[in-house]
Amino acid sequence: MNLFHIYKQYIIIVFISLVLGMIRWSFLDKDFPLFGLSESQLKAIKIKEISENQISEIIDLKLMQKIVIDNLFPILDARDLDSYNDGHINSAYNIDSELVIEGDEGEIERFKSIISDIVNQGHKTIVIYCWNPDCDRAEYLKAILLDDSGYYGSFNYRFTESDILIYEQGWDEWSLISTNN
Amino acid sequence: MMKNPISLRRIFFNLCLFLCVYYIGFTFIAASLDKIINPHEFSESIRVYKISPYWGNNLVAIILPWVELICGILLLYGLYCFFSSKSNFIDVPNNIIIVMLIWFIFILSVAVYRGLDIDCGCGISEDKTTPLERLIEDIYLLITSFIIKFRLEIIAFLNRKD
Repeated sequence: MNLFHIYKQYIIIVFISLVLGMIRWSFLDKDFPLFGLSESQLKAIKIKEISENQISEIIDLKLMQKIVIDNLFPILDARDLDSYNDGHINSAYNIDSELVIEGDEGEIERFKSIISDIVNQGHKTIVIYCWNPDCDRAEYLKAILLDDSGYYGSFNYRFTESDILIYEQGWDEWSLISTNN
Repeated sequence: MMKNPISLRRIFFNLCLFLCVYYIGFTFIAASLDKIINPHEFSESIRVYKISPYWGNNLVAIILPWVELICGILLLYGLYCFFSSKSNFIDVPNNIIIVMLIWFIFILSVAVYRGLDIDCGCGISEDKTTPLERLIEDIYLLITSFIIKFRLEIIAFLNRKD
């Protein structure tokens, strides 16, 4: 009791801060748990850890699995539509990079629309994959994203080379692992 | 008639005290507002120091800015009380501020020692600031807080000299 009287003014200040903090917390629009972290915060932490540790733009299976399981980055499938329909990595968007390069207007519009959506969702990193390391479609798509001519939507202002990761072993490795599991 | 030199010294010290209180008071008020508006960002700033358990980051991000704001306001009010009625209420917010500054200096020192390349996420500057820059600023603030804390001793010393 005596302690309370000695530190009464300090306790009151902390108590008022606590009450005002709780009021502010109740007005927060985003998910923000008092203890622990929200899913979006955990996701942001994982993304930052990957960004900090990822030196190369080529990613391996282990990291790719983490990205897919936690849904960290948008994934682009650079193969043709039929191959995509036969099987693809979960949540991947299909953009046939060869059709885009050949100037197929429909595919270019689809490319612009998909990338615009990704940019609007606030993503800063993209993962692209193709069949395997011999397939150049992922590199084509990366080059299109970084193109500064304006013909493909000028997304080079949004992404730098290190923001575009390539899962080099591609669908061949992924489908093999998926089948084995 | 000659003016009393003690009173001149006292006036000068009172002016210094006024400036010290306003420097700390407004720094804490300004620094708290941004954190109150955006606790998500402040929670992330706390996390990158990797010094506190992650489960408590959000709670700290919700409460600490309000402590800063209230202490900043009460410090200004405490100065008014000190000048008007010689009340020492100013010591309450000032002591809390000293504790906070010592904690900030500790975590910033750890960040500097570890060589963390992070935006400090504290203070009032809009620009990216390094932990070292903030560490220096917090040391200035702590010295200023100690001037406020030992104001009576300083006044007594000034009186004794003459």
